Amino acid sequence: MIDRTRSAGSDPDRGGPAQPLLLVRDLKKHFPGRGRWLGRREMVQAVDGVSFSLAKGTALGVVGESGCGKSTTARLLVRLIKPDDGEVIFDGDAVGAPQGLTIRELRLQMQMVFQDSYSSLNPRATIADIIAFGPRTAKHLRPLHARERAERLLEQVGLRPSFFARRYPHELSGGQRQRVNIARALALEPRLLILDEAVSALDKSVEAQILNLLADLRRDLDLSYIFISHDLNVVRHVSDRVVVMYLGRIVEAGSVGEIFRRARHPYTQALLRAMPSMDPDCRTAAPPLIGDPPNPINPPSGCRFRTRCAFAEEVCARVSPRLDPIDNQHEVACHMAVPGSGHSCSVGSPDADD
Amino acid sequence: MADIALVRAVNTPDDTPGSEPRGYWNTVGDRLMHDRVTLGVSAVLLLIICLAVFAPWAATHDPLQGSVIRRLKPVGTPGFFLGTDETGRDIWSRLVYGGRLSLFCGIAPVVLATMIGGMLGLLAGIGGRLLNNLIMRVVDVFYAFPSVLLAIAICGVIGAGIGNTILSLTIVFIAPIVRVTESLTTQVKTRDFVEAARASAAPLLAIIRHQILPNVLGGILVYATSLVSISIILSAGLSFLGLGVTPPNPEWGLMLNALRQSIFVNPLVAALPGVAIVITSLCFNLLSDGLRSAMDIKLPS
Amino acid sequence: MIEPSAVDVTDLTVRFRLRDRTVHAVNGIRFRLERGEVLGILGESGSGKSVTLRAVMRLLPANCEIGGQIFVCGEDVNGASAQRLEDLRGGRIAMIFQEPITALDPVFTIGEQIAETIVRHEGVSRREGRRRALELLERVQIPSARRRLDSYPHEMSGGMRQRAMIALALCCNPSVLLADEPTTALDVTVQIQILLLLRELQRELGMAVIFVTHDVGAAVEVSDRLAVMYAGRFVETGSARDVMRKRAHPYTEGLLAANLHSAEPGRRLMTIPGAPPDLAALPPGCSFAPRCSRALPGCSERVPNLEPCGEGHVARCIRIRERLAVPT
Repeated sequence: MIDRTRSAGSDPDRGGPAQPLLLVRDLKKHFPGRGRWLGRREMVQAVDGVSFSLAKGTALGVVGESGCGKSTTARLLVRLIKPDDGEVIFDGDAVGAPQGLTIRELRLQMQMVFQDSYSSLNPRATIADIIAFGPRTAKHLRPLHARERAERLLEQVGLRPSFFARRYPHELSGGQRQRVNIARALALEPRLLILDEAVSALDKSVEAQILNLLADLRRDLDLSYIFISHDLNVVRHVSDRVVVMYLGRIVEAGSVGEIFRRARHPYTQALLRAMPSMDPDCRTAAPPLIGDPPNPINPPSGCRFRTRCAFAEEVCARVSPRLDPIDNQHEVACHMAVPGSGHSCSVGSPDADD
Repeated sequence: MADIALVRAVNTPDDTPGSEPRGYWNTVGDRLMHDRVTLGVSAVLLLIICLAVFAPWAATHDPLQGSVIRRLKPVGTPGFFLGTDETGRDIWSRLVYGGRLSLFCGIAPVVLATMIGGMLGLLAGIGGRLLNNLIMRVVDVFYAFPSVLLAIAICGVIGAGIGNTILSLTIVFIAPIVRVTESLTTQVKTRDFVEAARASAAPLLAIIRHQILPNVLGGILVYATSLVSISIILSAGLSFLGLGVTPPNPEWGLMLNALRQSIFVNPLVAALPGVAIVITSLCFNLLSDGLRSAMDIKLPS
Repeated sequence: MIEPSAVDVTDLTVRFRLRDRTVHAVNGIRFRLERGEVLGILGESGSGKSVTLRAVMRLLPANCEIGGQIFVCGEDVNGASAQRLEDLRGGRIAMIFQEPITALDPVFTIGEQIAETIVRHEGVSRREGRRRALELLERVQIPSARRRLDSYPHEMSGGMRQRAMIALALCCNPSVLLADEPTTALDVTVQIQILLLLRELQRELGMAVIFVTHDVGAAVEVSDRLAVMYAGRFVETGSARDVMRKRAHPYTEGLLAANLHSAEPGRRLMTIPGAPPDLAALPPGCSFAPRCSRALPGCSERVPNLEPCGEGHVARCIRIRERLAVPT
C-alpha cells in the first residue's frame, strides 16, 4: 500500500529541533458585523495582529475570556476560516504560499480536537467510522486498514475497541466522546494538535483523566499542543508557554512559570486574582475587574484594555502598546513595562516607583 | 442539563458487553413500533396499496364495463356492494383500479421532486453565497405561486394526461423541497462534526456523502411523506378539473367529477371517491407526523 | 413560637418513570436551612443536584414521583395547591439559572419583566413596580440602570443578563433563593463579580440560599455549609471549612484531589477511576464503593448511614471513624 501523501512537504521534522514547529506572524481576521443600510459596515475585529511561535514538542497555552479571539485563532490555523492577513509557517514552510504547504498538506500535520459537545461527532456514524473517516477519505487508506487504525487508536485512548467500535456517539458519556475526539484527531498522524476548549465541558474528575491521557499521548507520540482554554488552572497544568489574549490581541506571553508567578500585564494579573478561592477562611474580598469583557465591534482605541484598567492614562488611549520582550522570553503589551513610553509607571520616567 | 439526563450512557470502558449498539434508525424503528397511531395508519395504507397493486384480483368487475340498466345502484346492491356509477360501472372495482392511478400520480411526483429538489437544495446549502442565492431566488419565484394555481397553470399549458400531471406536480413540489433541504443542509453544515471533517482534509464529496447526507435524509423523508398527502389531493383535483387523467380511466378525482351530477340521486355513492381520497391523504399525513415524532429523538448528551 | 426553618427537607426521593426503566435521581436527601444561611450543594453531572433544587420549588416534569417532605418557611410544598405554588414561586422562593437567556422573556424589556412580577405578587401600581425595578437594577450593580430598564435581554452581555436575572429573582424579597449553577457559563472575571454580588445581597437581605454547582471554588466562595452529592445522596455535609479541610468521604477526597488548583504542573493528576453509576441501576450498598480505593466488602451490603466526624459534620462512610480517629 503506497502512502500517496509522501511529498516533499510532509517529511517529519524537516527543520530539526531548533526550528519552531509553528510560527504565526500578524494574523488578522475581521468579520463584517451587522451592517446598516447606509454607512460603513462595522467590523468585528476578532483577531487583530496575533503573533507567536511554538517550539517542537512543547505545549502552548492560549488563555482568554469570551470575545478574545482564541477560538477564531484556532480555526484560522487549520484554515477552517481564511485569514485576512498574516502568515503561518509550519516547520519552515509557509502555508498557502506557492512554494510552501498546501492547506491539505497542512491539515495532515495539524489537527484539531473540538470541545465535547454532542455535535462534535456525527450522530449517524459508528465510532469506528468516525475515526476511520479521515484516513479513508483524505489518505485513501483501504477500508480494512483504516478500520484497523481506528481500533488501534481506540486502544490508545483507553476505549476497548471490541466494545466501542460499533457504538454510536449518543451511547457514550462526555469523557468517552472526548476520547473519541482525540482519537479522530490522531487518525491522520499529525505532529501538532490544537485543543479548543477540549476539557471545558467535562466534569472535573473526567477532566483529570483526559488531561492525563493527553500528557501520555504527547510523550508517546512526540506531539506538540496548542491548548486553548478559559480555565487558567488547566492551562497552567498542561502548558510550557502561555499566551494571554484580550479582544483579538496578545497582551502577554511567557513561560508558564513567568506568567503565573510574575505576570506583568494588569489583565493577566486580574485573571489570576479572579480565580475563586479554595479556602473558606480566606475568601475573595473584591472582584479584580468590574464590568464585562467589551464587544469586539469598535474596540477602544490604543490599548484595548484601558477601559477596565486601573492604571490607564492618556498615552494608553493614544498609542497601542506593542508586544515587547521584557526579559527571559517574557513579552508584555503594556506601556507600563516599556521604558520611555510616556506612562507614569514605566521605568525611566521620573514618577516610577520601582 | 446533564444532571437531568435521564439516560445514563455507557459508563466505564469495561461496561456490559453484549448489549447491542442502538443506532439511530434502530431507535427510530423502536419508537415507531410503539406508536399505535402510526402503526394503524401504516396498516391502512398498506391495505390500500395492496388493493391497488393487486387490483385485477381485488376487483369484482371490469372497471370499464358499464351498463345502462345498472346506473347509479345504491350501496349494498347484491353483486355491486358499493353501488354503480352514472354509466353503470361497479364503484368498488373502479375505486380499486383507480387507486393505482391516484396513488401513482400522488407518489411519483414527490419521488421525482425529492430527487431533483434534494440535489438542488444540497447544492444551495453547500455552495457559496452566489450559488445559494442563485438557486434560492429562483425557487422563491416558484414559491410565490399557490401550488394549486401553479399546477393548474402548467397543466393548462402542456395539456392533460397522466404524464403531464406528474410533470406539473413535480415542478410544483421542487420548490418546497429545495427550501427544506437547503435549510437542513445549512444547519448540519455548521455543526462541529462537519467542521472536523473539513479539518481532516477530506474531499468535499466524501463529506457530503458521509457527514451531511445521512443527517439530512431523515428530515427530507418526513417532509416528502407529508407532501404525498398533498400530492394525492392535488392530482385528484387536477383530474376533477379535467386537466389530469383523461376518461374513461378510473381515477378518484375523475370519478368525483363524473358523479357530481348524481349527487342528488345517490349521494352516498357520489361521495365514495372523495372518501377514498380523504382517507389516503389523511393516512400519509399521519404517517408523516408519526415519522417526525419518532425521529425527533432528544438523544442524551 | 419557634420560627420555622427557611427550608426543611426530609427523606426527599425523586424517581423518573421512563418507558423501560426507572431513574432514581434523588435517593433520600435530608437537610435544614435557616434564614441567612447559604448551603452549597457540590456534585458532578448525574449526581441529582439540579433535580433536588427543582424539587424544592416543585419545578419537575409530570412523569416523576416525589417522595418525602419539603417545607419552605413552614409551608408544605409537596402538598400545596397549584394556586398556592404560584404565589410561593417568585414571592417566597426564587430561582436563578445557568442560562439567563432561557429564563428571561425575549420579547419584553427587563424593566417590564421585573415590574410585572412585582405587580403580580404585591399588587402595587405599575409606576411603583417600575420604580422598584430601577432600584433593583442599581442594587445588582448594572451600570446605567435607568437606560437598561428599557433594554431587551438580547441586547445585554452575559454578565449583565445574569445580574438582571438576579434582580428579577429578588424583586419580591424572597426568603429562599435557589441558584442552579448561575456562574458556570460566565467568564472568570465576571464569575467572581457575580459570586461576590450574591454573597453581598444574601447578607443584606438575610435570605436562605441553596447554591448548586460543580465548581469547588464557586461553592467555597459563597457557602457557609457544603453538601457533597453523589448518585442522588449527600455523602458529606458540614461547614465549608470542615469539608474542605477534613474531606472525610473518599469521594470528596477524590474530587478535591482531582482539582487542578492544588495540582503540581506536569505531574500526573489524581483521578477517581471509572465513572458515576447509572441512576437507573444503582449498585447495592454504597454507590461509590465500586470506585473507592478504601472499599471493603461490607460497603456493598447496605447503604451507609451518615456518620458523625466532627461538630455538625457528617459523612456517609462506614470507615470514617477509623480514618479520622474520632472518639465515639
